[in-house]
Amino acid sequence: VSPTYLYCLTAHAAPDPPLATVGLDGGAVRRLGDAWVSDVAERSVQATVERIRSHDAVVAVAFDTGSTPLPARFGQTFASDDECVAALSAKQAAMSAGLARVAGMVEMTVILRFALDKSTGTAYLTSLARREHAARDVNTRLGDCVRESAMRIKDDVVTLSHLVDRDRVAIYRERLDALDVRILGPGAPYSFGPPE
Amino acid sequence: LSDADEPLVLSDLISRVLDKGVVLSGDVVISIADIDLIKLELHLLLSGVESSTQSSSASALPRRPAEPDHQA
Repeated sequence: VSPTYLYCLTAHAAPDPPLATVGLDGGAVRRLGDAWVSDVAERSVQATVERIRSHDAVVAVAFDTGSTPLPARFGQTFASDDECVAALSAKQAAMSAGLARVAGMVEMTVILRFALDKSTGTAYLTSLARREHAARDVNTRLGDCVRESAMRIKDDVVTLSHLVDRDRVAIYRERLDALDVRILGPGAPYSFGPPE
Repeated sequence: LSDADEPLVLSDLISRVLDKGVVLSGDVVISIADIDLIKLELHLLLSGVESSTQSSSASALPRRPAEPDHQA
């Protein structure tokens, strides 16, 4: 029995994966309960850029069906379909709440590149404050266009993730027109899983 | 998006897919391809910072009309 690899969870009434959908290492993607899965050769999956792209591509196919999926984190394998189904059943309530949270929503991402000035202590603190202000300004401009938001800072890159109604994406973009930022999306809501 | 943004986009993709998303099982069994992926992300990040520094030190700020130069 080949291990089962998990891509995402979908609403009960969501469409099945299209027949031609392939995942990691060319494995055919299929529906298992409310999950999209494929077979893989081993339990341990080596993270490569190609496999990461494959994982995300399958999630994108699920997203493009029009029913927002809950993306799974990369690398989740199960010894068999039965083990995957058992894991899903054990967390059914949380996953249902997560799917309800993202129903009809998309994730939009704003990337701010902000070179911090480390020449002096004062300059560094000033640039930190400017970075925070720039991030806050994005959220202020978006206002009620955004249902939920999350922020990640890694070195000089600030990533703002927003949960947005599918039909408000155009408004979202309009509100950021005046800013020199990179906008990604709409896409599946990796950053907004089941409520804690 | 321009070609110059590709490193940022790929870096964001790697971060999202590896760090975000729901976890069903207690153990997420992955191994990084040697250290190639980490090296790649570091390279992309450095490339992004470099291009950002070249283009602007504060590209996140709102675009504003050109202001007169107050310096003598």
